Amino acid sequence: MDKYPPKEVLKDLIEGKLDWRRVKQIMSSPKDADRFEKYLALMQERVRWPEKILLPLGEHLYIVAKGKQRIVKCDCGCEFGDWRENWKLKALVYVRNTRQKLAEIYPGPRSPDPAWCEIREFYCPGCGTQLEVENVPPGYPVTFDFLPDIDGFYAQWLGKPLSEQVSAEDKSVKVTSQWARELSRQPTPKVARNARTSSAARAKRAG
Amino acid sequence: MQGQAAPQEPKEPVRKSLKQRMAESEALWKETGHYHGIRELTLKEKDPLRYELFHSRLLSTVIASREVAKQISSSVMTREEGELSFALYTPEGDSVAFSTGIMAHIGVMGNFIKWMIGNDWEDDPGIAEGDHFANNDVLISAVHVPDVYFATPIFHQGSIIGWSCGVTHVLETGGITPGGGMSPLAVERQLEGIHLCAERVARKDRLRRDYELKIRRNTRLASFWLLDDRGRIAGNVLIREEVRKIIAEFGFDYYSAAIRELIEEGRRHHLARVRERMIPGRYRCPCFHTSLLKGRPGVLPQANADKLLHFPLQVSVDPSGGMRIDLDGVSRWGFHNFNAPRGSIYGGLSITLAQALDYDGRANSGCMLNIELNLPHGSIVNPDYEFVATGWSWGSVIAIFNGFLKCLSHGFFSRGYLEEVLTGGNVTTGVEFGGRDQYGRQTGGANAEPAASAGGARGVMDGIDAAWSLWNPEGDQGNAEMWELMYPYLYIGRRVVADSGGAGKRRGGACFESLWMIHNSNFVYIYQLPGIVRIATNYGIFGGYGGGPAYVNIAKHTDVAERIAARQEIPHGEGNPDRPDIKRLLKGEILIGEDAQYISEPLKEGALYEKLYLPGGGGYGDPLDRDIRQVERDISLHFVSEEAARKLYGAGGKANGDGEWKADAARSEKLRARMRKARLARAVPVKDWWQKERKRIASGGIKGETAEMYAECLTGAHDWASEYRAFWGLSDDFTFVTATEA
Repeated sequence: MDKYPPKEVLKDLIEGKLDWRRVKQIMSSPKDADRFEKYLALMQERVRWPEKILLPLGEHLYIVAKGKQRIVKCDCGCEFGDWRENWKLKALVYVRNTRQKLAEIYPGPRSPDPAWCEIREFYCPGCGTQLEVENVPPGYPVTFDFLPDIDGFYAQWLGKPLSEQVSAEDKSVKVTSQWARELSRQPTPKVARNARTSSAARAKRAG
Repeated sequence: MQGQAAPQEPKEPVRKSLKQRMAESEALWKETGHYHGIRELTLKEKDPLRYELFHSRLLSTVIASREVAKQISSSVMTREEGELSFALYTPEGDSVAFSTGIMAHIGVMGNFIKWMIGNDWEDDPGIAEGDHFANNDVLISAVHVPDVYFATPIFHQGSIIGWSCGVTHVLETGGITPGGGMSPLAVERQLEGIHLCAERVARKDRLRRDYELKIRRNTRLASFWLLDDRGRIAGNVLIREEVRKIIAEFGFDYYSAAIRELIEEGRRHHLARVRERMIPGRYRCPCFHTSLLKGRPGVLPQANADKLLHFPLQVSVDPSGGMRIDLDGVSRWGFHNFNAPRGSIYGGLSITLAQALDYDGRANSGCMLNIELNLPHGSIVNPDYEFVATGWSWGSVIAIFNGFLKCLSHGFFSRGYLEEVLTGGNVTTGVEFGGRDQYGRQTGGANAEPAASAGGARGVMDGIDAAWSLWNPEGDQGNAEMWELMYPYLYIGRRVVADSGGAGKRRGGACFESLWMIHNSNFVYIYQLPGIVRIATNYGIFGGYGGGPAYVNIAKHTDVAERIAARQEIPHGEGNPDRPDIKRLLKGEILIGEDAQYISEPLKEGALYEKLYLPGGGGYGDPLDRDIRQVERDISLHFVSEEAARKLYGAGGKANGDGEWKADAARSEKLRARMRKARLARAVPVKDWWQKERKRIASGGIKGETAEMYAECLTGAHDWASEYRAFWGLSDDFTFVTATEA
C-alpha cells in the first residue's frame, strides 16, 4: 500500500473528486512514501511557467527555484520575492475594519467588533485570488504563517540535498525596515499617543 | 471486589519506592533519549504477533471499561455525550493505553499520578489495594474542575505495578450559580465548587461515607456525581482485574517490559509521523479569546473588566521530528475563568495529537516526550497565583489548539497529504443552567451538546456539519428528550445554522443552534460561557474564512403561549440573523447577541433562550474556487443562504419552477471574474497599508481593550515584543498607554 494512491487517483483526491468512501480508504491506509514526488509532479503539470517547484506553499502558491534564487510564486505567474520574506508583504490587502465591511461576511450579530477584530484579506496582485485571510486585532503584525526549512527537508528527510544550502532565516524585517527607512524623516515613536489618555500619562511620568 | 489471584512468579518483585522508580525512569530518559532507557524494541522484534496481541488486550480492556462506566452513570453528559475516558498507566504514571472519548486526559491523569508519587503519597496517606484517589485540581494536574479523575493502584505480589485511571465530566460541581464549574462568575478558584486534591475517596473499592456526605451536602446534583464516581470505580476495577488476567497469561516480566516498550514505540512512532507528514520549519498562528465581565450582573470587583486575550502560537519542527510549542508574548493570567495552566495545555496537546497525528499508532505518553512547551511564568498558560480560576480553561485551550491544527495543516499541505489538512473547528461556548428545575429542586450544570458542533474544512472535503469538537472527537449532542428530563426547558428548535461554516473552496462545517422554552419553572439562570464575543476566533486557511462570534438571543414576557394556543407560527430557529425570528414573530422583551450574554433576573416559564453554537468550522481556500454544484447543494440543504452564495461564493443562479435553486455555471463564471477584478480595485499594496497602520499605532489610534492587550504583552524582554516593535519599525521601548495606566 505504500504506493497507493497512484498519481491519477491522487489528482482526483486533491481536486475533491473522490467520494467519502474512497477518501476514508486513503485516510485509513498507511501513507504512500512517494507521495511528495507524485504531488510535486502534479503541481508542476498544473502551472504554465518553467521554474521548478521546490515546495507547494498554499492552494495557489509555491516556492520555486529561479536561477540561484528561491522565490514564492503564484500559479498565475505573479512573483512575491525571496521565500524567507513573508510573501504577504508583497501582496495586496483589503482590511474589513468597519461594521459595514464585516457584515458582508458576518451578518447581524455574527459580526466581530472592529475595535477588537479586523479581517485582512490578502490577494494576489496578478490574478485577484484570495490567498489568505487573517482575523486579528487592529495593530497586529502580519503573520508569517510558515517558514519551511527547505534544505533540512530535502537533505535530512528526503535524502536528496539541494545543490545549494540556504539557511531558513526570517528576512521579513528587512522589508519592513526598508519601509521604515522611507519614513525615517519622522521620529521613531516610543509611546502610542493615545488621544484619550496621553496627557494624563505624561503628567504621571513627569510627576 | 477482588480479582482472581495471579499465579506466582519465580522472580522477586521490585521493592523500591515509587518515587525512586520514577526518578530512575526519568534519569534513563535524560541519559539515553529513549523512554526508560529502552534502546531496542526487543519484544516487538522477537515476536510481533504476541506483542500486538498484548497491546490489543490492553486497548480492548480500557475501551470496555469506558463502556461499563457509561452504563453505570446516569448523567446525560457521561451516558449520552460520551464525556469519559479510561486508561492504563505504568507504576510511574506514564500512559500505556487509552480508551476512546475525552483523550485530552491521557497525559494529564498521568501527571496526577506523578504528583502523588512526587509528594510522597506512598508514605502518607499511603496507597493500598482497593484505594481510589480523586483529583480535579488543575494546579495538581487536571484540565478544569468538572473533569473528575479517579486513579486506582494495581498491585502484584505486594508492589504497585500500574494504575488504572478514569475521568468523567460531572454535571454540577457545587460552584457559584449556575454551578457546573465553568460559570463566568467563578473568577477565583473558591467559586468553582468542590476541589478534590489527590484525595483518597474510596477504600476496598467502596466510596467513603464521609466523602459521599461531602458531595451530597455541597453539590446540587449529588446523585449524578456519585453515580459517575461509581462508574469510574467500576471502570478502574475492571482494568485492574483484566491486567491481572493479562499478567497471568503473558507473565509479569513480559507485562512489565511490554508496557514500557509500547511507550518507547509511541515516542518513535510520533517522530516518524512528523517526519512522514510534515516539513521542518517554523509555523505560526496567533490565537485570541475574549473575557467580557465589565458591568455584568454578579461579577466581583476584581473581575470587572473586559479583556482581549492573546496566544501568539509558534510551533517549530526540527529535522529530528522534535517540536517546540512556544507561547512567548501570551497574555497574563487574570480574574476570569479562561486561565489555562500547564495541565490544560497538556490536555489540549494530547487530544489534538491523538486526532491529527498519532491516531493509529500508540497514542500514549511516548507521543509527547519529544515535544517541548514554552509556557511563560505568570501568564494565562502558567499562572503564578495559586487560587487562579480555570473553569473554562478549555476556551483558551481550544483557541490555541485550533491554531495548532492550522500549523500542522501547513505542513501536511506542503508534503502533499491534503486529506490530513484540518482547519480550526468550532470554539466551544456552551451554556450553564441554574436555579430551580421542573421537579422543584435546586439544579445546575452545563448542557454540553456542543460536543458535536462543527469541524473545520479539510484539504479534500468540507468540514463536518453539526458534529465534532476538539475536546471530544466522537462526542454526541445527546438526545433532546434526555436534556429535557434533566433541565426545565423544552426544545422548540434544534437545527443547522445557515452561513455559519467559514466560506472557502472547501466549506467549514456548519454549526447548529438550540432554541429552548423554559418549562415548569419560574426561576432559571442561564449563562453563556463568554469566550468568543466580538472576535472571529477560529481560522480558515489559504483564503478560507473563519467562523464568526458566538452569541445568544433571549425572549422574555412574550406572547408565545398565546401563539401556541392559537396554533400560530412560533420561532424554531434564528432565521435571518439581521431580523431573527424571535423578534419577527414574538411580542415581548427581546435581547439579541451581546445584550443577552448575561441575565439580570431569572427566566420564567415561557421565556425563550436561543443558543447559536458559532463559529462553524474554518474554510479552506478561496471561496471563489468552490465548485458551483456544491454551492447548489448547500443551498438545497439550507446550509448556505442564496444571498451568501452570491456575495461570498460568486454563485449565479435562480430558483426553478419547483422552487429549487439551480446554479448557472456561465453566469457564475462571469460573476466571479467581476469579483476578482473588484478585489484588485479595492485592495492596496501591503506597504501602503503598513505605512498608514504604523502612523495609526504611533498616534494612539489603537484604543481600549486592544491597546491594553498590547501593553500587557509588550511588557518585559521577550522575542514577541521585539518582533512586534521591529515589524512596525518602532523604538525598542515603544509601548501603549492604557486608560488604567493613565
